[in-house]
Amino acid sequence: MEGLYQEVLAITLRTLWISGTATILAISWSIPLSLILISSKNRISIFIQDLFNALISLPTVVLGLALYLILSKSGPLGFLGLLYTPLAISIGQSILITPILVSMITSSFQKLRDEVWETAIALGASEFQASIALLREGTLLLIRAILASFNRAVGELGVALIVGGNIKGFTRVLTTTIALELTKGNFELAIYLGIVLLTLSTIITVAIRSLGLRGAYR
Amino acid sequence: MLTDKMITLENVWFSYEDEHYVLKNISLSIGEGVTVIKGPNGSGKTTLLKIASFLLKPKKGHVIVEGTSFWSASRSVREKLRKKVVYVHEKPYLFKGTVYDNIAYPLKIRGYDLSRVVNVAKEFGVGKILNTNVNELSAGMRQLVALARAFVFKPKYVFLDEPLANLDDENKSRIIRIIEKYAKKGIAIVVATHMNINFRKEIVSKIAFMNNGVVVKVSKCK
Repeated sequence: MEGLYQEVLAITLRTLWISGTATILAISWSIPLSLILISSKNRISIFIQDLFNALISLPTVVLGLALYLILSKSGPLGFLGLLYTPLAISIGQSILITPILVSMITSSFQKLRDEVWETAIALGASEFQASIALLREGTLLLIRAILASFNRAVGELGVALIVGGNIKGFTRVLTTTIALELTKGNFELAIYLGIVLLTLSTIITVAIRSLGLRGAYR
Repeated sequence: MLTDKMITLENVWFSYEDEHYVLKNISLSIGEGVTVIKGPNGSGKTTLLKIASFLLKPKKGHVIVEGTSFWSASRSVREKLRKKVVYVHEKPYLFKGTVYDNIAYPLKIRGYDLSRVVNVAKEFGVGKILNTNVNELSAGMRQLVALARAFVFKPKYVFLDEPLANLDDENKSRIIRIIEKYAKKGIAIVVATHMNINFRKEIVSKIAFMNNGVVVKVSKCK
């Protein structure tokens, strides 16, 4: 029983680490991109926003397959040796959640943009200073978007399975382990892991909801 | 010394949605003293103020600031020119935090000393609520904080959109006195309003009457 708990704990921590890395990666390009899209109200930025909205429903297995072809030995980035590593999963998940981050940030910041951006610029702020003001005013909205994206990364299966390879003690995460244990008929571990995944997801959802309420009543 | 035409709009046209123009061939110069833009709701006063304070780019025409065509200038020149100008919305947005944080903001972004904040707050009647969170303020107090924030960094050009909206009679008189005081110091102040505001005659340099996106009449007062 102790071995089971240790395994569950190890898999959970690895999942959090891999998806956390994915979220940090996605944040690093999604926030600047969102700010550019918010600040420029032209047809190109609207098109890009629509594109990201459409990409939210990108099937994870399709993304996993594309990444597999790119990262496999014969693929264009095969020389990096990333396939079947935790980093490959993180990269895949970061791509998967980028549309969610960008769409959530751009849509939720739209009203703020009109008020905060214009006020900051009207007071003499540079565009950079206005961006900082916008992020500060929208901190809760930003955290909501980040938590929702992290939630998506933790719960996805396709990318982790295809580019991670579900290697025990290395790339095995909650979702891939549940899938594997189910096929093996090992329902006990699968249920334990399912409960852990559900608990994580519930905690994050409650956090998103409470942040949303705080934002609404601000 | 009066130097007229510090900001000049030359044949400015503007539309929000490429459909019909809300400003049509506006030419207006804004100099020292108070320039009053009068007109009914929807006549284009706010849009005119936003164009003159560089918040909106005209579809046609030019905005000339101290001899420089603003929208033809480089980004760095535009940012320098923007630092001289302030625009206060009819329903101003206050940043999260306290009254002090808000009044200090224009000074912080310019790297100025913050020692002026307290005196300016007192001048605008918000000195006693410097540590109050802006969420707790009434609409009138928010207006006063926004006006204090606009004047704190000694701007060269101030654009006020319905500055007396939400204010009681006492605060209306206070703001009129303050506007007159700053105008006397050489600041160009543009006030868009649908009301009659009784500024002292020697302070008002001109009154532009607007209707349906057009300046129908300009009365020079100085």
